[in-house]
Amino acid sequence: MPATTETVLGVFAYVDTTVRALEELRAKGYHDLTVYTPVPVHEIEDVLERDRPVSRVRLFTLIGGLTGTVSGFLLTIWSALVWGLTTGGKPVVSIPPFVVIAFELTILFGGLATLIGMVVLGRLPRLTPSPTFDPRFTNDRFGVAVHCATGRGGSVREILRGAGAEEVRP
Amino acid sequence: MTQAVWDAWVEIATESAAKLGIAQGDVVRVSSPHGTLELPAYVSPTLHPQAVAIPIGHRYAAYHVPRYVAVSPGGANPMALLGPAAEPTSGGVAFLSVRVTLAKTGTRRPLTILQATHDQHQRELAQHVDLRAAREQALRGKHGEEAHVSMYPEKTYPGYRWGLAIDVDACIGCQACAVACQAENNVPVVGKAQAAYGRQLHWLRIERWAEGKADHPTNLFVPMLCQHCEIAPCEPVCPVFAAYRTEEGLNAQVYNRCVGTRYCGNNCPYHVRRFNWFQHEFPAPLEVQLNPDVTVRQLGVMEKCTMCVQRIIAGKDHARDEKRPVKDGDILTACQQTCPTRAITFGNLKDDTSTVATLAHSPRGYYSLEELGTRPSVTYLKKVVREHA
Amino acid sequence: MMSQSPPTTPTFADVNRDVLRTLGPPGNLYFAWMCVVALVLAWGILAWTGQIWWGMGMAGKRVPQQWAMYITTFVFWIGIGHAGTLISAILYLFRARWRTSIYRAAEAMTIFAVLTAGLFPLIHAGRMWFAYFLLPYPNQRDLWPNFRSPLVWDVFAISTYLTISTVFFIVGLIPDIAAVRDASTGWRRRIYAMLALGWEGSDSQWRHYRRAYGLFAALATPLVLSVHSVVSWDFAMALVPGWHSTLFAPFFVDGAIFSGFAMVLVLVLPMRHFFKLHAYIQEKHLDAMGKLILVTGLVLTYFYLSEIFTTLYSGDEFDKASLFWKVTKSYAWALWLMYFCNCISPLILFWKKARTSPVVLYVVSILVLIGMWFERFNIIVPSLGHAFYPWAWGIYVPTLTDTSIVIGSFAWFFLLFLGFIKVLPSLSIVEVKETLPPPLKDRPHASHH
Repeated sequence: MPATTETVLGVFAYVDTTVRALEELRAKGYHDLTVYTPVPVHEIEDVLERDRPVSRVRLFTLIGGLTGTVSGFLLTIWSALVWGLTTGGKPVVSIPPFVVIAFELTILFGGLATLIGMVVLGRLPRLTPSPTFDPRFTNDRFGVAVHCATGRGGSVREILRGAGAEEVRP
Repeated sequence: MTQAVWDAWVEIATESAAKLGIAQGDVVRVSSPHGTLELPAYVSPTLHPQAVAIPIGHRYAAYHVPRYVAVSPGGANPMALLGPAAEPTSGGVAFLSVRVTLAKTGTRRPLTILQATHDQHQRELAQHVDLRAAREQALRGKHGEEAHVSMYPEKTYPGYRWGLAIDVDACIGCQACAVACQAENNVPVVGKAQAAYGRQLHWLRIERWAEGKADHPTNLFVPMLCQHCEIAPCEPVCPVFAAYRTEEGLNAQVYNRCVGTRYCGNNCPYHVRRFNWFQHEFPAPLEVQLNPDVTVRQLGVMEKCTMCVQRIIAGKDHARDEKRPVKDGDILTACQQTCPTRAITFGNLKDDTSTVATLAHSPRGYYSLEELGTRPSVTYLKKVVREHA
Repeated sequence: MMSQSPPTTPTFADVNRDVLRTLGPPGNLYFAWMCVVALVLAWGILAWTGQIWWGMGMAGKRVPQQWAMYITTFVFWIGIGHAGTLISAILYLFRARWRTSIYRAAEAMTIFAVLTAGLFPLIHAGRMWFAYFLLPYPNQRDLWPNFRSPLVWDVFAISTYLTISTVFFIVGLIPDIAAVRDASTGWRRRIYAMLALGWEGSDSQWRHYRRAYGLFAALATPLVLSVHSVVSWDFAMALVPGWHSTLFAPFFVDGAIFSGFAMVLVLVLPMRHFFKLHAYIQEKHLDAMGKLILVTGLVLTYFYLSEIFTTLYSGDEFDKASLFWKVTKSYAWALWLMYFCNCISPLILFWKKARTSPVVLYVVSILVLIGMWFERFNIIVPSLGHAFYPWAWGIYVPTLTDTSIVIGSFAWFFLLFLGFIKVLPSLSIVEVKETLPPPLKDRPHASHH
């Protein structure tokens, strides 16, 4: 099957040059970008976030947390009723102490759900490195990978170089 | 009652001890015309200054068991001090008293005394009432019992509610109940070193509390055992439901379930819960003496008075066979059965006509550490004293 | 420890180089420490084995002190475990930038401290082989734990805390491990590659990562405050005079932060010295930690005073007798040692010179750790020794078994930490970089050398 898209990678040493490249790419209508950075950079995020919704990780947290609360109360109340043992003259279903369990489970389930959310949405774990990744991106270089239709590679390379890329490939 | 264990001692009055410079635990040479003995001193505030006392029946060398007392302190038979003189009136051997002299040897052998202090520190553990007040109360009845304030509904008991009444007035401190309990409930003997460090396993202990003037106090005896509290501090802290309250008002302890966190023991204000710090054995021939109706506990398990639950079950079975409810006298706890003065009464608190319920409502009745609100099932009856300001 | 290289601003590449250098082959000193720690740990394990074999009586516990050094040390380690997540969660939410260079070590410390603390309920239980009864697991007799017991709350609070702290730690590590992966070769590279989960630092990974990290911080903040509150309820829910107090939750949380920061300093100061991390752990960081110790110490002093005041003011005779006994009798030395270590010794940190001097900070931190261990000791042992019923009043004497196990727990903690600093980046590569000025072409001072 012939490739209908090609990918061009630009390696940058500076944040401002990276941002400049991103702005220009977007202005020219290239929206399918992957940006590699050693640290999260606000300026870069600002450019990219313009047409993306907020990460859905928080939905995972909310559902996980609520599951925790409910299961905390269910577990404590149900298990207390199984044998119905009285201790210390207190009612069998003593809500105040059960709040502690429900609280802890809220945090526990919320936290684990957040982890799952992060892993699932961030497409982790990645078993094989993506072709455009370069080990320098975890050190001090910034990468912009542009996915464009076959034949548009030339203009993309031009934009990247013009913005100040150290290296452009292929 | 000195509560010294695993040794004999010579009891010396406080005044005499001060005069001779003897402190508790100093080894004292006691010499009579017939022989000498060396024993640790026990300083007593209640003894006559001109008298010393040595218990008979403690510490014969032949009966030394290394499992219980590591190093034998040697034999000490007080008979050695007594002469062959005959008592003029009866013609028997005059073996109860002889004139002795005391001398400090300079060595020390601290006594193992189970009770930390005999001073109640105003905690009203052993209470008493003046004779006249007691008589008045008995005529008029106890003034209105205070309603128990609680956020929770009153606890109800579908069948029986077991309880004990213990008469402090009748207790003479003989400790027969403690021995009966030990035999009935397979309570291991821990030996001198462990007893000295607060690790004895008695479910029932007799306490001696001083009352009145510090130099010549009156002694009150209190048998202390699990109070089977209605609002038991020990129960809710147990993480595994090893301690819980039964429908018959007993504070149950499930040995199989116990993990040994000892939280219950800390939270019991009466310190009646006992922990198995080691695996205690019953070497032959002691195993023959074990009660087959009672579990022998493993190391790491908390245990305590069960109100002789095995006897309760047997008594209920017996009553059921005769198709009638349990009545007074069907069930006797081991301590009750053994008490020579009938200071201990067991029964059903729910039945207002039972002896225990009558005693529990007696004007003399009180609960140990009542202000903690534990609502014990054990009612103590105040000692009646002749003259008290 | 006094040497201080002039603080030049490192570049991104410098950060990678300096942090990766800490993972280089260890020297003889490191191995010597490892040997010492391993030997002490082995001795502690031997003592524990003896205790399991012969019974809890091998330790010095008795009636009434049925809890003693094990629970003291348990609470101590839980307290130590509070600084890490406090730094990574609360200070993250407050955007306190000084946290970046110490938070990794503090988080590792948290996890290791909780792992150490987690051993103590097992060590302490009379039948530790049945400790799993405390877990809610389905079984054929439908026996469940008693959720009214503070010990079961502990199980939930501590396991939740350990899980969330570990997740927090691992998530924070992923981009850093990726950096280590990209700088290593051979089998190490394969291992780090596995641990990095294929992290590449792409924008979509960062997007979810950042959001998740913020949510972790938001979840961990109430958790940090709750865990030591729950631990304090082990005491506050009980009846014992000296335990039964509503003051305990905030009192314990403050004490935990206080001791936790002291432990962070105890670990970070030698790390800074031996790894020559002066450019990252600067005087201002030490200063900030010194201030935190000072403030939490003052708050603790306030709690001590309130505790005395409420006891005297309440008119509760049991409480008053207990307090009087603590202050004047058998264990008074421990109480006054605690007051000195926790209330007096941190006062020197009012001086900036002291706050920026590693030697002074180290000494104060050690004193604070001693003081905080004794604080828990003073809550547990003397209170139990002078409770309601005078029949049992008395003194607890630790044995060789107690002492060996407690010292062994320190060895276990340091063994884990020593292992950590040579295997994982003990400074956060990513977060340190974030605090640096980003490389800009148009700003010459930030450019590459």
